[in-house]
Amino acid sequence: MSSTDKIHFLYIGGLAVISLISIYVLAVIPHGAPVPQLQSSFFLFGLAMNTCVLLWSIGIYLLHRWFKTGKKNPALLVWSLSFFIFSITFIAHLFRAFGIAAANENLSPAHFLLYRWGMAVFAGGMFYGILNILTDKKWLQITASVGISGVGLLWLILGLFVIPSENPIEFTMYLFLHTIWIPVCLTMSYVFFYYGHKSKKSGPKIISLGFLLLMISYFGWAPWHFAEVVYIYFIWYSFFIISLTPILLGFVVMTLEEQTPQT
Amino acid sequence: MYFNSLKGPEVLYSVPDDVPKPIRKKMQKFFDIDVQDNFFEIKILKENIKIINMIIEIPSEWARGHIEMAMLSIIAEQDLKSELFHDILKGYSQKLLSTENIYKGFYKGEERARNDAEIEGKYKILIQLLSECYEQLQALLNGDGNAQIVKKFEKFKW
Repeated sequence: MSSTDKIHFLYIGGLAVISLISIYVLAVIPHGAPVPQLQSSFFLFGLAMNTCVLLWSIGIYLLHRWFKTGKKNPALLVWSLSFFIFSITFIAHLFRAFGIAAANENLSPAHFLLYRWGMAVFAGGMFYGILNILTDKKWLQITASVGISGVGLLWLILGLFVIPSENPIEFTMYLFLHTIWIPVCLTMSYVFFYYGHKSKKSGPKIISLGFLLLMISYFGWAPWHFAEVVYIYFIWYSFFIISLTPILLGFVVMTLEEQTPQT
Repeated sequence: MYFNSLKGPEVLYSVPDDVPKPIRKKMQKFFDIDVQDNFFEIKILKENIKIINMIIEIPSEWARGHIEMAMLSIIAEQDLKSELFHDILKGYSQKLLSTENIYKGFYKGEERARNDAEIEGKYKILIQLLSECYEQLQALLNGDGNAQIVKKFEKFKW
């Protein structure tokens, strides 16, 4: 029996399993077990879960490529780690959705710093990767990326703990998003677009689109984070998730385009 | 490279250096292969080079089948992407095709050259266009920085 025939048995087996499940569902009409903690926070849980899945998928894929390409492309490793670190914020959202008070970033400035420092590191990591490609000057790679992470963390510390403000978390987000996060996203988008345009490749352009959408999604935070319109913020949150998809897709396409022989 | 009806495929003009004999022999072989696309590349792993090619069919009153087969080729390092050069090669193949009686340039030094006053002039135009094409390619790689970003990204594996 060939391996193709064995695969057909897998299909037949699958049909048998789904038939049994369907018969059970139709006969018993089962009710799913309740999760009371999620009754009022299911939307946050769903959004955070999707975000974590995508961020980890990007992180795992980049790490995989770093290994597969002989560990010679530092950008792949640094970006991979950056995506994992970025996910800290969203892991906290998952626990917060389950009603764990300590996971609520809005509980205090200290909690906000605890769950958001990864964004400053992510911004610096992204910048390090791009500089690693664009320049051989190590001092520039280190200075600029550490500078971005450093200024980002400084904004977080100053905004949350030092500069007097009625709402330190809000003030910090305004400061951080509009001086670090959004410009870094635009830079990433532009560099990938420029490379894609000049090399006539689709992968970098798809990544560029992802970072552009990521940037736009964070522009949505400031006007819609206020209590009376915060429900719109959750739509921006879903838009943010959409932006991660082209980033993942773009990296996969970049690999494929590199491997496909040209005719 | 063009197809000389008496001698077969021949290098008409090469810049900045002559094409090394072993590479020229390989080019003569694949000049004859039937490819669907007129733009293609051949990798020679042993020499760590690639040859990027654009085939041009130039209407001719003198050639068999009334078509002169010509090929613009770039011998480049393996890590350079062929797509980078497509627009320039395409542009110059259009310029060759739109130059009236350019095919006569291929016949310099042949018997019939003595009987046609246009051949020397067309040959000069042909060489001038090929030189310009080379300069454009050089500018792409060095001058305006267009290819720099591609080289920077593609020094790494993705």
